[in-house]
Amino acid sequence: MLPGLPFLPSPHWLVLALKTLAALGFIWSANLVILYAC
Amino acid sequence: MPAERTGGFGYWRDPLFLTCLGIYAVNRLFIKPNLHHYSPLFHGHLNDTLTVPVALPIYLFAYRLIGLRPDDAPPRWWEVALHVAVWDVFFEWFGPHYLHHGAGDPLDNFSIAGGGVAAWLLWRLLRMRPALRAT
Repeated sequence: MLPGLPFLPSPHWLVLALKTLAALGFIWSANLVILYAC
Repeated sequence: MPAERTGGFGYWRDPLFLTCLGIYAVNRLFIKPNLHHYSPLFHGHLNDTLTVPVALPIYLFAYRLIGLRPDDAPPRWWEVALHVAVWDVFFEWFGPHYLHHGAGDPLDNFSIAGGGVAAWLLWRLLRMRPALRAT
């Protein structure tokens, strides 16, 4: 937990969540490129 | 690049990826424009079969850059299977039904999965080749 902010997730989980979000964004965009361009 | 130091998977420099990309380019640029009738192989199944060997290395490299992939190992069976499942749903169901693009055909699912199995086996063979040569 962040100090003083117990309702927020720890930075480790925040980083993992952001990385997962970035991967999902990449998957969505790349799938659209394959669907429309190939 | 980590792959150069450890002798791991080459992503865009992988020989199977480059070969299949070449096959896709030849089909797209030279074969398809010169066909006078619809060919199920050249207009459909060939591209579906090449999906895993051409697309998966790019996806895995993106995960490596993001930091979700911890090493440069060749594609694992569950990485291939997970992407085949997502692509089957996206290209054969979501695309045709919700984006109104493409056509859902059960044979396409088999083509994508068959290409995935073949690519996984070849990646394993290519990884074993240097070890066999050394013995």
